[in-house]
Amino acid sequence: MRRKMLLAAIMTLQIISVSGCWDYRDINSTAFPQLGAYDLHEESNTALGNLPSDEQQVDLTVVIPTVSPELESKFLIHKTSGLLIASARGQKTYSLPGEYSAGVASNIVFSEALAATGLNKVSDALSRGALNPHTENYSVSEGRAETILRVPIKDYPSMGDYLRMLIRSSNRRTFMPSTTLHQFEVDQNPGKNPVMPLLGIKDDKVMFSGAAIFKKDKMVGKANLNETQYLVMLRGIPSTGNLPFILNKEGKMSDIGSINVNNKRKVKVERNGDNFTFTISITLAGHLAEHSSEDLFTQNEELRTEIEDQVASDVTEGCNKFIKKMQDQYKVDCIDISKYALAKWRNELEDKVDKNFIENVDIKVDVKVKLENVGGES
Amino acid sequence: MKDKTGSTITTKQLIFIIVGSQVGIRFLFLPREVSAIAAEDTWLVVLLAAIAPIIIIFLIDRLGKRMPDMGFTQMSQALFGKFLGSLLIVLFVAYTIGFESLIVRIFSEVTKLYLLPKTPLPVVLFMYVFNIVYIGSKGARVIGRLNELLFYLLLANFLVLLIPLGAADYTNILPVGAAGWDGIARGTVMAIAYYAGVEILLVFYSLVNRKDEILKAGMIATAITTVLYVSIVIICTLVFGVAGMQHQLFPALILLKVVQIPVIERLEFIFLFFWLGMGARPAINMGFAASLSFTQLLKIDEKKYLPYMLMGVGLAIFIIALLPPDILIVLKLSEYAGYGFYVVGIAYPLIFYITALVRGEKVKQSA
Repeated sequence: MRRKMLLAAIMTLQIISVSGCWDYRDINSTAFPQLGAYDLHEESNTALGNLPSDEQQVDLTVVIPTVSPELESKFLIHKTSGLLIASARGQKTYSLPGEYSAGVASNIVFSEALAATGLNKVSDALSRGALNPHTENYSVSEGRAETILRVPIKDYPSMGDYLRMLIRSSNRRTFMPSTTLHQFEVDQNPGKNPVMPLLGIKDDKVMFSGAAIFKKDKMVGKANLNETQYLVMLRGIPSTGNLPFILNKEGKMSDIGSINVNNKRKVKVERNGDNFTFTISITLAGHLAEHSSEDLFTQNEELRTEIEDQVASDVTEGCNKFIKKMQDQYKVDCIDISKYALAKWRNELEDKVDKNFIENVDIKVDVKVKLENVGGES
Repeated sequence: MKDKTGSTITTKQLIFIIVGSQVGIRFLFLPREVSAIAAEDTWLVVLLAAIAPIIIIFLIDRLGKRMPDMGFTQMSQALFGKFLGSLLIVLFVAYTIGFESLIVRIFSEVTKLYLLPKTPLPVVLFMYVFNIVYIGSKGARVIGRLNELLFYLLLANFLVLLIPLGAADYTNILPVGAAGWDGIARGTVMAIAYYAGVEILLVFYSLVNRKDEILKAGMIATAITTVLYVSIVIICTLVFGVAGMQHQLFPALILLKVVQIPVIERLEFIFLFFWLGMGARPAINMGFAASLSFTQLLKIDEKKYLPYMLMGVGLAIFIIALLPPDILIVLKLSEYAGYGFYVVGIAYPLIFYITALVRGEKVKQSA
């Protein structure tokens, strides 16, 4: 009996001490940043901390929701500078009471200027932190990222809430990439390059303005909103979006409207010596959202085919223009097709696939549009 | 030798004990370590490496059939004489304690890193060692039952690892054979070390009630371990790619950080919560094996002194586990410990069997 009691006492001591003593944390006195903005350092009177100037290379600005309902402000914006991100976080202890828990931020916005210098050095603190999830959404801002955080917001509790809803799974609502920390990392594997949503400010609102194109961790170009939808289709990011169409007959506009479609991609690669030919087959399937003419689909059976052909033609043209821009201007495989060549000839291509490869391949696009229904009206 | 530890185990329990001794904390970093050599062919080399434990089980079974009533210690002394036989047992115990110390240390480091960041390492270590000693003191049958229970948890936990397949890219695993013969051969040699734990059959053989089913049980256990290993390697390769995997210290754990499930949110913590028991299994099984062998070597009453022997082994594991200064050195040491498996896990059964063949009738008489 005594032995059993001793055992029970030891086990109780075990259970109590491990979870309670060292890792106890009062949730009310912990700061949970919701959104982070990473910028190249610039002199300002808003940054807190006391690092020497040569140790200030980045600015970290975060949105932290306030927990007390009695407070007027629902969030606070806190900015510190540091050598890198963890160093800037370390500075927060001088001006932010309580614990700082970096592992819960759901969105990170990088400034364009910082992205151009390479993001791995600032992403490392997120990747390395054992308590951080790898599902944080990454995006790039036109101009300073901090500015995005400071845009006044009325319709949402904070900019953190707004951006979380805007960016997370953006590809399910429109042709816009949605990139997480994990995707950013694996998209730097041989033959791959990341893309991220690009944010801008228009009429005092934060909105998507296109996509940021990366060569490994460095941003090398931007695509506008129109180009971004072709980028998404060519890259094969499963998305749902709306595409407009204009039908012309005998030089006159006969019908206008739009379709809601999902996209799918298949890639085939063939080789003739050192010449590689990629054929990207894009399938857009969905339904007619609206059209302006009085033509009835039950009576004009060709109308559906005409709409499908028109959208296919528009998308093919848009894709071909984007491919040309990619090969001439970006010079990186931002449509993620080199991996198919690697899957066949990895040993031979792995060392050269990221050096002048995509610029010199032939890329063909085949677009098929399938309207599976036309809605409730005939 | 009948029920000397107060218990015997069934062949079903033997399956779970062998799987439990193999699949532990190293499961979390196997994909990174082997893929550094075998690249896209890691799944293939892990599959090929399974030939080694199959041969080991076969050899131990043949050996056991020649000396069915002998425990590992008696077998060693009968084959090699008292001095050399005892020395081999001491080496076996030293290897087991060293190997398990590293396992417990890695496991404690992972627990500290992900779950209890501010709890001092010795405290976390003590928790594990205490449980290893306590469970071991309950005997082989309890160990068998615990392994069985934890095996079912392992299966449930393994299903969680399938969730990240939504982020898979099949081109990451192609083409087959890209590592070349050299890469596949070197990778296979390395992957064999991940089947360490199978040598526990040397000790547990005498405790199994149905000797005629041991070979079959061993094969089933190896098949289960192989399926688990090949699956985790394929999942990690598909999700991270070979290059991406090299950046992750514990890719099988990071796998659960890349997806977000509504309500659950942080899958890796749920996984780790269940893995706590599973990761400790090799240490429980091997700690018991070491203690039992040592008790038999000293020819003391197993029933009475096994718990004290376990305490001694536990203390040794605790002290040795605290010696390496950091996790990188521990991982390096675990690589070297893998070489220990080539000696104890592979060479022991082979030498024992060959000696038994050579000495033939003499040994049978001694048995």
